[in-house]
Parts: sequence; structure tokens; C-alpha cells
Amino acid sequence: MGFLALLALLLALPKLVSSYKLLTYTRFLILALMAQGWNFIGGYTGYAAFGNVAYFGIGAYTTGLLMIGKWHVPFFPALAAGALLSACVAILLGLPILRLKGHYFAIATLGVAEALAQVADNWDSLTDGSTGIDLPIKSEGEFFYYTALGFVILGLLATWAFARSKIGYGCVAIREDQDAARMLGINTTLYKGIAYAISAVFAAIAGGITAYQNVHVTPGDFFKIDYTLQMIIATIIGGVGSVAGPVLGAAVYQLLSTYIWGRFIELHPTVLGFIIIFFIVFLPRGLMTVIGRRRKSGERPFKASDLLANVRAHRVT
Amino acid sequence: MSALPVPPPRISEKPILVATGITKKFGGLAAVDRVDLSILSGEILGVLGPNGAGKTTFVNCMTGLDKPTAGSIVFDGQDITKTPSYRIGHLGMARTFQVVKPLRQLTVRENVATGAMFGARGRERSAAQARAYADEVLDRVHLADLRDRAATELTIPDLKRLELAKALAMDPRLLFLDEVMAGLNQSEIEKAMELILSINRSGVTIFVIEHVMKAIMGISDRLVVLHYGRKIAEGLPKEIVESPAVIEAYLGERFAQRAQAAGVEGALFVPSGEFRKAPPAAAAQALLEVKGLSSGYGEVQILRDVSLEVKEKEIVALIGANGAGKTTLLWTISRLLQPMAGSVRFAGVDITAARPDEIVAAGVVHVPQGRRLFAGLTVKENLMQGVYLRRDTAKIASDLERVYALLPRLAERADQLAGRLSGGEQQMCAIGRGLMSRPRLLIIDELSLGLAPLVVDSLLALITQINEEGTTVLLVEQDVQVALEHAHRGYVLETGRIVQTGPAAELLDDPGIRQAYLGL
Repeated sequence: MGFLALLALLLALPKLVSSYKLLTYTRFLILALMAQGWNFIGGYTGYAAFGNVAYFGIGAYTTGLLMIGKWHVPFFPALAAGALLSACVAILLGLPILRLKGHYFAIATLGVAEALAQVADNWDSLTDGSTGIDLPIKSEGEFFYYTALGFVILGLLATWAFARSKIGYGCVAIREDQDAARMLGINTTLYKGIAYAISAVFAAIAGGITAYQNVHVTPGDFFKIDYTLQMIIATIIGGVGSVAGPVLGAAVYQLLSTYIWGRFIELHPTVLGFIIIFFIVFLPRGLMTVIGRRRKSGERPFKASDLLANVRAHRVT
Repeated sequence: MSALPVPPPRISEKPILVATGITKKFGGLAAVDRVDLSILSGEILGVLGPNGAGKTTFVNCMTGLDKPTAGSIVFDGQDITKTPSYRIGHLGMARTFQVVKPLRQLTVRENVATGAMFGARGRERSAAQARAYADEVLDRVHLADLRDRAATELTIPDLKRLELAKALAMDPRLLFLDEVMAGLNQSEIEKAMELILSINRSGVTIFVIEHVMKAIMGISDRLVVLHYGRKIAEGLPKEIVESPAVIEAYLGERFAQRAQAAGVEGALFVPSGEFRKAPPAAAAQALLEVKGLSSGYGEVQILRDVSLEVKEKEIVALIGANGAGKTTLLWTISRLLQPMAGSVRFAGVDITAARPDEIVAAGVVHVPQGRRLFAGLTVKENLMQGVYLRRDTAKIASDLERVYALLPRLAERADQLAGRLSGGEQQMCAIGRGLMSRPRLLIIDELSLGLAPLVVDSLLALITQINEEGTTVLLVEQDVQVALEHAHRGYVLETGRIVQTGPAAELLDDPGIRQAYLGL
């Protein structure tokens, strides 16, 4: 019931608020989408990916470049192409870097994001370098809002189904103990790759929508590490490894960002830091565990502070 | 020499697995050295060997977690030497881990369901079918009551059972069991033996590593003994326990007697007065006084009104079934847990409210169950962690020498990472670390857990020795006979209460205790 009421409210929202406010809500949905994606690799599989902004950027550039230039591909096919390309890149990069564990993996993903930013910055003939590219203008805010909302709902369903699927069980087993997972017959390389590719698809869709909405795409704006941090923080706030946690966390993050930090621009990073510490110390399993019934199937909450600890579970070799 | 005189019909002449010339080197050290071994289809093959003999490494090689440096493995006619580990399960092999590897934040049922989902090819299940099948398996291993608990909440014996359940859920044809009975008491061991036999009789070939002699003698069709990575004996159980080489390398005289008795009559108890101790002089001062102690975890109260006394220069054994609250009591004494009521006094000083580090500084040193070594530090660095609070730097070097003298294996391995040690070596290292703190009272939780009989014997001798040198000892030990033979006095803990106490020799003769804990 509560869920349906919330859904009705979200559907009616564009009629209720100003177009400026709607932009804030759209931003929340975009962040939710990125966080949902990160939750697959970071939450369910326990791999602290710190470079998902790379796929946000790939999604943005692919969507943009296909829509302009000689092809003039419509928005949704262009978005799909961006998602597909991101998934392929994630699998190719994932093969080597998913062999790394714990903080080594985190550092490698960070490097990947930085490298891709440099590619976008320097491949002038394709991306026009730091000048960036300009997409066709579409000014109806409702379109972006509903597109993002649609994907977030799809994302919820996908996460729900994933958590109940064999792939979901396989990924969680990898998170809990990789050697045990192998002995249970789980192809760890394959499943990590799948989770990583799914997270890339979500980031790419978020990137594509944002690109279309912002019109102008530059490496500086679309390969910012801030996006990676936001998706991780939102997931931590909501609940790592839970179905609705990333969406809830994104809502809280956006709320805080708009109504509190807006007033203390200089203190922004400080306040952000305190909030992260608060959640990791006092609510390591996120808000979902506070509001939801505990141990609903599909919820695989795990402590945010354990994120980097998966290296511990491995034998000293 | 390994041929069975009259093999039972369930055992086929045809081996299910043939390992040839298996060698596994870590750096220059060969953990497994040219081992040839065949597992006959349908049999229970028991594997014995001192800690560090390479038993677990051998299983790691068989299951693809370690790639053998040399040698070949053929499973059911198929060469699997280079098969990736996750496919081993699909072929019909499953294993348990000696150092348990539960999927910690999942429930017991989800743990087992995961095994049922990805197991033997052709018998995989959907997620929903797997959850249903998990319940069946949990019934079989007597874990059904705990199915909705998170794996993190389980005790060590239950985690061992969970290991078995996960492996069983994969529908293996060949099952490797790596010390699934470590930490079980006698009656639990009996149940575990029945369980393993019933699994085998349902058509599963079993390769079992175990130090519990009674169990391995009771269930194995054949035995293999590894020592320093080599196979030193193979044959019928009866032949093996009489083999001088095995007695020398592994069993030790005293356990050999017991094992032979077990093999011959199915009994484990060797009546003998020579191992009993008289209580020390009655005039001795109480060193540790526990009065009316209640304690537990969160809302759950485990200990109820426990009172206990350890006198100066005494060895006191604390015995009781798994879950009786022994570890909880030790944790409360060391103040790793906060008491709910009651008091703890040490050497006349109330330490109920002291911090754990103050308790260590006062001279109470706790060697915890599961060793809790720092896996990424070397043996020597681990030992030196024990001197953290000491100010008498001058004596530290000589104490280190003393620990090395008492436990020569640690000296050999001083520069190895503790995480790389075998189970027995880890236990030695944990005790060594405790000794480095120069304790007045040494608390040891589960001394013999997972250790070879010979090592247990030498550790017990060590404890007797340090006790004679003046250290008081409070010992928790699952092998009640061993505990009471080496202690002066004993306390029996049942569901959080002390139900009996007295001189160890009297407890050893008590019919109630013999029935409850010794299975006599």
C-alpha cells in the first residue's frame, strides 16, 4: 500500500512542483540509478568499485555522439548503445582487474576511470577534447524525470530478481568467501564479470540521460570522481546489498544536498565527511535495516565497513 | 598391502580417484611430496598425519584450489589435474574446510541452498528448489533448528556441521572431509560418526582427515598416513595403529594404546592411574575467585550464577558439552564480555570492572579458541605481540629462547607468516604468545582442537611443565579424559551453571561423567 501511494506521488510529481524543483528530483533519480548499479558489484558481490564514473562517462559520450554527427540516432537507441558499450568495456576491463582483491581492486578501478577521462580529453577527432560535445536540445523536464523514474523502477525489479536468482546467490557467495564459493561450484570469474557489467549498464544509462538533459558533455563534467563517491555514499546510507537501499539512500543524499548543504557551501565536504562517518559507525547496514523488517529474502545487507575487508577472507599466499 | 581381505560389496575394486606423484611446493618447501594415492569407489579412506604433514594441501590439490607442482589426478576416468576449482564441484566432488568458510552473513539455510544450486552437473537446482532441498540436508545433519540463524551466530561445532551440509547439498560422489569433528565432544563425535557412515552407505565415497582416533578408527575402511608431505603408510586401520613408524611419527605411545583399544573393542578408555594428579597442598591461596557470575550476549544470558576458584599453582579443567558456556565464562573472566552480575577477583584484587588490557597486565593471559593469530605477521612477530605490556625488556629475549626451547617447531618457522602455519603449529604459536606475556594464570580454550595426538601429548607435557614452574592454568578441553588426567581439579559446566566440582581423579571415576562425556 505504502509503496503504491509513493509510486502515485512520484508519478504525479511533475504536476505538483516547479520545473526547477523537478530538476532536483530528476537528479535524485539519476543518483539512485547509479547507486543501484554500484550495489550489484559493491553491495552484492562485495567488490569496492571506485571507478564506476567511467561507465557514466562512456554512456554520456556514446549517447551524445550517436545523437549528433551524421547518424542522428534517436535518444533511446543511442542510450541502449551506450549501455551495451559500457557493458562490453566493463567485461574486457573486468577480466584483469576483477582478479584483484580488496583495496587493490578499488585502486585499479580508480585508475581505469582516470585513464578513460584522459582518453575523452585527448581523442580530439572524436570527442572534441576538453571543449566537449553539444547534444540536441530538449527542454521538457518531465521527459527526463519520467525516463529516469522508469529506469529506477526497472532497476528495483532487476535488483529484486537478481537477489533471488542463482547469479545473485553466486555473487553473494563470492562476497562472503571466494574460495568457498569456488568449492560450491561457482564460476567466480563469470559472476563477478556479470555483476560488474550490470553496474556499468546502470551507470551508462544514468550518464546518457544526464548528457541529454545537460546538453553539453565535457570530460571534466562527466568523468568526475564525485559521481563515484555519490553513488557509493548513497548506497551506504540506504543499505549496501539491499534492494531498495540505494534508492532510499539517494533520496536522503539529495535531500541533504539540497536543503542543508545548499546553505553551507564551504562546509559541504566537511558535512559530507561527517555523514559518512556517522553511517559507517552507527548504521553500517544502512537505513533499510532500520525501516525494513530484518532478513527479508532478497536483502543481503552487509556492513559498509567490511567493503575493503574482503581481502581478509583470502588465504595468505 | 592396502588390499582389503574381504571388501564389503559397497566398495568396488575400481578407484574413483587416482592421484599420481602429487607434489606441491611453496617456495622451496614441498608441502606434499610425490604422493600416490587411489580412492576406491564406495570406501571411507581415512587420512592421518601430524599437523603440517600436508593433508589439507593434498585436498587443496585434489579440489583445484592449489595447483600441484607435479603429478596428475584422474577422477572417474577424466584427467582433472588442470580443471578450474569451480568445475570440480560440477564433476561430483565436494569438500569441507578445516578452517571453516561459511558464507558469513547469510542464514544457515541460504548457505546450504547455495551449495544445492551450483553442485554436481545434471543435479543443479533453481533457487527455489535449492532452498527446499537445503531443509532436507539440514535435517540430515541436525542443524534444522538453526536454519534461520546467520552463520556468524553459530558456534564452531555447528559451523563444522554447516561445512558438511554445504558440501552434501552439492550431491557429491566423492566427499573430502577435513577435520569436521574437531571440537566435538564424545557424544557429538558418536553422532558425527553415524552421520558419516550413513552418508557413505548412501553411495558417497569419503576421504576423511581426522585427528579424533576413535572416530577415524571406527569408520575408515582403509587408512593412509602422511608425514612431512610423504605417504609413510597405507593399510587397514588395525595394521596402521600397530605400525611403529606411525606410532613414532603421529600417535605417540599413549594414544597408540587407546587407538588400539578402540580398534579392538570399540572402546577408548585406557584405565591407568599414572596420569592422574593429586590436588596441590590445601593451604594454597586462591588466585582466581569467580563469584555468582552471570553473563551473556546482548539479551541472551548464557552463564547463571557461576562460582569457581583456581588456586595458586593449580591446573583446573573446565569441562562441559558444546554450548554449555565454557568459552563465555573465559571471555567474561578476560573481560572480553561484560558480566551481568557477580564478581571476579584475581590475586585478591577485584578485577570485575577492569579493562581487558589491565587484566592482561595483572597476569591473566587468555589463549583463545581458534587461536586468533595475526595471520599477516610472522611467527616471531606474533610471539612478540605477547610482550606488548611488559616493561622488563631485558628478560624478553631469554623468554623468547625459552618458548623456542619448549616449542622447537616455532623456532624452525620463526620467519614464516602465521597464516601459513598448519593447525597444530598455529596452536603452538598461540600458546607461545600467551607464555611470552609471563602469565600468572594461563587460560587455554580448547587446547587439543584439531591437533595430532602426538602434538596434544607434547602440549600437555608442556602445560604440566610450565605449571610445575609456577604458572597456574585454567584449561577448557573437549577431550574430557585428557583434561581430567592432567588437571588437579575440575568443574563441570552444564547450560551455564556449575553442576559438579572436585578433584580431577574423582571426576574421572564418576559414573555420571563417564557416561555423559566419555561415552562409556
